[in-house]
Amino acid sequence: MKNKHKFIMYFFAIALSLISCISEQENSTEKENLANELIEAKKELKSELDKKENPITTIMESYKKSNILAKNTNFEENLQFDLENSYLRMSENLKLVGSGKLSNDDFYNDVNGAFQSESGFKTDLGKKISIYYKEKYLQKKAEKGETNSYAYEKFKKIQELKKEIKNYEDE
Amino acid sequence: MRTSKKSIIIVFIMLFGVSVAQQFENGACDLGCMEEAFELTDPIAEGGDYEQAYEHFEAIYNHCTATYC
Repeated sequence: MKNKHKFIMYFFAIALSLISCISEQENSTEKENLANELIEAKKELKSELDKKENPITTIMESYKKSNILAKNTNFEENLQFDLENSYLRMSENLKLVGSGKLSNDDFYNDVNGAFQSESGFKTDLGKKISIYYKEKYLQKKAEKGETNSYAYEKFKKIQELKKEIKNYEDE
Repeated sequence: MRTSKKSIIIVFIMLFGVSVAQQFENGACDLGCMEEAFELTDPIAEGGDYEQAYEHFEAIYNHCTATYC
Protein backbone atom coordinates (compact mmCIF):
# COMPACT_ATOMS: atom_id res chain seq x y z
CA MET A 1 0.00 0.00 0.00
CA LYS A 2 2.79 2.38 0.98
CA ASN A 3 4.44 1.87 -2.42
CA LYS A 4 1.11 2.53 -4.12
CA HIS A 5 0.73 5.82 -2.20
CA LYS A 6 4.26 6.79 -3.07
CA PHE A 7 3.61 6.02 -6.73
CA ILE A 8 0.43 8.16 -6.77
CA MET A 9 2.27 11.06 -5.09
CA TYR A 10 5.16 10.95 -7.54
CA PHE A 11 2.69 10.70 -10.42
CA PHE A 12 0.84 13.85 -9.31
CA ALA A 13 4.08 15.74 -8.69
CA ILE A 14 5.36 14.90 -12.20
CA ALA A 15 1.97 15.71 -13.75
CA LEU A 16 1.86 19.10 -12.02
CA SER A 17 5.42 19.89 -13.13
CA LEU A 18 4.54 18.97 -16.71
CA ILE A 19 1.42 21.13 -16.68
CA SER A 20 3.39 24.06 -15.27
CA CYS A 21 6.09 23.56 -17.90
CA ILE A 22 3.58 23.47 -20.76
CA SER A 23 1.84 26.57 -19.47
CA GLU A 24 5.16 28.43 -19.26
CA GLN A 25 6.02 27.30 -22.78
CA GLU A 26 2.70 28.68 -24.08
CA ASN A 27 3.30 31.99 -22.28
CA SER A 28 6.79 32.18 -23.73
CA THR A 29 5.49 31.54 -27.26
CA GLU A 30 2.76 34.14 -26.83
CA LYS A 31 5.32 36.68 -25.58
CA GLU A 32 7.56 35.90 -28.54
CA ASN A 33 4.66 36.44 -30.92
CA LEU A 34 3.93 39.80 -29.33
CA ALA A 35 7.60 40.79 -29.54
CA ASN A 36 7.68 39.90 -33.26
CA GLU A 37 4.47 41.85 -33.84
CA LEU A 38 6.05 44.82 -32.06
CA ILE A 39 9.11 44.70 -34.32
CA GLU A 40 6.88 44.60 -37.43
CA ALA A 41 4.74 47.48 -36.21
CA LYS A 42 7.85 49.59 -35.54
CA LYS A 43 9.15 48.87 -39.06
CA GLU A 44 5.83 49.94 -40.55
CA LEU A 45 5.76 53.11 -38.45
CA LYS A 46 9.31 54.01 -39.53
CA SER A 47 8.37 53.38 -43.16
CA GLU A 48 5.36 55.75 -42.85
CA LEU A 49 7.39 58.47 -41.11
CA ASP A 50 10.16 58.32 -43.71
CA LYS A 51 7.66 58.90 -46.54
CA LYS A 52 6.84 62.35 -45.20
CA GLU A 53 8.85 65.51 -45.62
CA ASN A 54 10.97 66.31 -42.58
CA PRO A 55 9.98 69.83 -41.42
CA ILE A 56 13.25 70.37 -39.53
CA THR A 57 15.28 69.68 -42.66
CA THR A 58 13.00 72.02 -44.62
CA ILE A 59 13.38 74.79 -42.02
CA MET A 60 17.16 74.41 -42.02
CA GLU A 61 17.44 74.44 -45.83
CA SER A 62 15.19 77.47 -46.04
CA TYR A 63 17.21 79.27 -43.36
CA LYS A 64 20.46 78.46 -45.19
CA LYS A 65 19.10 79.88 -48.45
CA SER A 66 17.78 83.05 -46.81
CA ASN A 67 21.17 83.67 -45.17
CA ILE A 68 23.30 82.89 -48.19
CA LEU A 69 24.85 86.36 -48.24
CA ALA A 70 25.53 86.38 -44.49
CA LYS A 71 27.54 83.17 -44.61
CA ASN A 72 30.82 83.22 -42.80
CA THR A 73 33.37 80.46 -42.46
CA ASN A 74 31.66 79.03 -39.40
CA PHE A 75 28.08 79.23 -40.73
CA GLU A 76 27.65 75.51 -41.43
CA GLU A 77 29.26 74.59 -38.11
CA ASN A 78 27.02 77.06 -36.26
CA LEU A 79 23.94 75.59 -37.94
CA GLN A 80 24.89 72.06 -36.95
CA PHE A 81 25.62 73.25 -33.42
CA ASP A 82 22.22 74.92 -33.23
CA LEU A 83 20.47 71.80 -34.57
CA GLU A 84 22.08 69.68 -31.89
CA ASN A 85 21.45 72.29 -29.18
CA SER A 86 17.81 72.51 -30.25
CA TYR A 87 17.39 68.73 -30.18
CA LEU A 88 19.01 68.31 -26.77
CA ARG A 89 16.97 71.11 -25.22
CA MET A 90 13.76 69.79 -26.78
CA SER A 91 14.50 66.31 -25.39
CA GLU A 92 15.07 67.74 -21.91
CA ASN A 93 11.77 69.61 -22.07
CA LEU A 94 9.96 66.48 -23.23
CA LYS A 95 11.29 64.61 -20.21
CA LEU A 96 9.72 67.31 -18.06
CA VAL A 97 6.41 66.88 -19.91
CA GLY A 98 6.61 63.12 -19.39
CA SER A 99 7.16 63.54 -15.66
CA GLY A 100 4.30 66.04 -15.39
CA LYS A 101 6.60 68.96 -14.51
CA LEU A 102 5.87 70.90 -17.70
CA SER A 103 2.48 71.35 -19.36
CA ASN A 104 1.95 70.90 -23.08
CA ASP A 105 1.10 74.58 -23.44
CA ASP A 106 4.37 75.60 -21.80
CA PHE A 107 6.31 73.05 -23.84
CA TYR A 108 4.98 74.30 -27.16
CA ASN A 109 5.38 77.91 -26.14
CA ASP A 110 9.13 77.45 -26.72
CA VAL A 111 10.04 73.81 -27.42
CA ASN A 112 13.80 74.31 -27.28
CA GLY A 113 14.08 77.44 -25.11
CA ALA A 114 15.40 79.42 -28.09
CA PHE A 115 13.72 82.60 -26.84
CA GLN A 116 15.38 82.42 -23.46
CA SER A 117 18.33 84.74 -22.94
CA GLU A 118 20.81 81.97 -22.13
CA SER A 119 19.76 79.51 -24.83
CA GLY A 120 23.29 79.24 -26.29
CA PHE A 121 22.10 79.34 -29.92
CA LYS A 122 24.51 80.87 -32.43
CA THR A 123 22.00 81.61 -35.17
CA ASP A 124 18.23 82.17 -35.38
CA LEU A 125 17.62 78.56 -36.45
CA GLY A 126 16.49 77.59 -32.96
CA LYS A 127 13.86 80.32 -32.98
CA LYS A 128 12.60 79.24 -36.41
CA ILE A 129 12.14 75.69 -35.10
CA SER A 130 10.44 76.93 -31.94
CA ILE A 131 8.04 79.14 -33.90
CA TYR A 132 7.19 76.28 -36.29
CA TYR A 133 6.11 73.96 -33.47
CA LYS A 134 4.26 76.65 -31.57
CA GLU A 135 2.22 77.63 -34.64
CA LYS A 136 1.51 73.99 -35.48
CA TYR A 137 0.28 73.32 -31.95
CA LEU A 138 -1.91 76.41 -31.76
CA GLN A 139 -3.41 75.68 -35.16
CA LYS A 140 -4.31 72.14 -34.18
CA LYS A 141 -5.72 73.35 -30.89
CA ALA A 142 -7.87 75.95 -32.64
CA GLU A 143 -9.15 73.43 -35.20
CA LYS A 144 -9.70 70.82 -32.45
CA GLY A 145 -8.52 68.36 -35.05
CA GLU A 146 -7.98 64.70 -34.29
CA THR A 147 -4.89 62.87 -35.38
CA ASN A 148 -5.90 60.53 -38.13
CA SER A 149 -3.11 58.78 -40.00
CA TYR A 150 -1.75 55.29 -40.63
CA ALA A 151 1.40 56.24 -38.72
CA TYR A 152 -0.69 57.24 -35.70
CA GLU A 153 -2.59 53.94 -35.83
CA LYS A 154 0.74 52.09 -35.87
CA PHE A 155 1.95 54.16 -32.92
CA LYS A 156 -1.20 53.27 -30.94
CA LYS A 157 -0.76 49.59 -31.80
CA ILE A 158 2.85 49.72 -30.60
CA GLN A 159 1.75 51.20 -27.27
CA GLU A 160 -0.92 48.48 -26.87
CA LEU A 161 1.61 45.74 -27.66
CA LYS A 162 4.08 47.20 -25.15
CA LYS A 163 1.34 47.08 -22.51
CA GLU A 164 0.55 43.45 -23.28
CA ILE A 165 4.23 42.46 -23.15
CA LYS A 166 4.60 44.28 -19.85
CA ASN A 167 1.61 42.34 -18.46
CA TYR A 168 3.32 39.06 -19.37
CA GLU A 169 6.51 40.21 -17.69
CA ASP A 170 4.64 41.19 -14.53
CA GLU A 171 2.93 37.75 -14.25
CA MET B 1 45.52 44.39 -68.99
CA ARG B 2 44.61 41.66 -66.50
CA THR B 3 46.05 43.74 -63.63
CA SER B 4 44.06 46.84 -64.63
CA LYS B 5 40.83 44.82 -64.97
CA LYS B 6 41.39 43.37 -61.51
CA SER B 7 42.02 46.86 -60.15
CA ILE B 8 38.80 48.16 -61.69
CA ILE B 9 36.81 45.26 -60.23
CA ILE B 10 38.35 45.82 -56.81
CA VAL B 11 37.51 49.53 -56.95
CA PHE B 12 33.88 48.77 -57.86
CA ILE B 13 33.57 46.24 -55.05
CA MET B 14 34.96 48.79 -52.61
CA LEU B 15 32.57 51.47 -53.79
CA PHE B 16 29.67 49.04 -53.51
CA GLY B 17 30.79 48.04 -50.03
CA VAL B 18 31.02 51.65 -48.89
CA SER B 19 27.56 52.36 -50.32
CA VAL B 20 26.04 49.37 -48.48
CA ALA B 21 27.79 50.34 -45.26
CA GLN B 22 26.45 53.89 -45.61
CA GLN B 23 22.88 52.61 -46.10
CA PHE B 24 23.26 50.36 -43.09
CA GLU B 25 24.60 53.24 -41.02
CA ASN B 26 21.72 55.52 -42.00
CA GLY B 27 19.20 52.79 -41.24
CA ALA B 28 20.77 52.16 -37.86
CA CYS B 29 20.72 55.91 -37.16
CA ASP B 30 16.99 56.14 -37.96
CA LEU B 31 16.27 53.19 -35.68
CA GLY B 32 18.29 54.82 -32.92
CA CYS B 33 16.24 57.98 -33.30
CA MET B 34 13.05 55.93 -33.17
CA GLU B 35 14.05 54.22 -29.94
CA GLU B 36 15.00 57.53 -28.40
CA ALA B 37 11.66 59.03 -29.46
CA PHE B 38 9.83 56.12 -27.81
CA GLU B 39 11.86 56.52 -24.64
CA LEU B 40 10.86 60.18 -24.39
CA THR B 41 7.19 59.75 -25.26
CA ASP B 42 6.29 56.42 -23.62
CA PRO B 43 5.67 58.15 -20.25
CA ILE B 44 3.16 60.44 -21.99
CA ALA B 45 1.48 57.52 -23.78
CA GLU B 46 1.30 55.56 -20.53
CA GLY B 47 -0.78 58.42 -19.15
CA GLY B 48 -3.36 57.55 -21.83
CA ASP B 49 -2.99 60.57 -24.13
CA TYR B 50 -1.92 58.72 -27.28
CA GLU B 51 -2.59 61.66 -29.58
CA GLN B 52 -0.38 64.02 -27.66
CA ALA B 53 2.29 61.35 -27.26
CA TYR B 54 2.28 60.77 -31.01
CA GLU B 55 2.62 64.48 -31.81
CA HIS B 56 5.68 64.62 -29.55
CA PHE B 57 7.01 61.36 -30.98
CA GLU B 58 6.84 62.56 -34.57
CA ALA B 59 8.43 65.90 -33.64
CA ILE B 60 11.38 64.42 -31.77
CA TYR B 61 11.93 61.70 -34.38
CA ASN B 62 12.04 64.27 -37.17
CA HIS B 63 14.40 66.49 -35.21
CA CYS B 64 16.72 63.59 -34.36
CA THR B 65 16.94 62.30 -37.92
CA ALA B 66 17.46 65.80 -39.33
CA THR B 67 20.24 66.45 -36.80
CA TYR B 68 22.15 63.19 -36.71
CA CYS B 69 21.27 61.02 -39.72
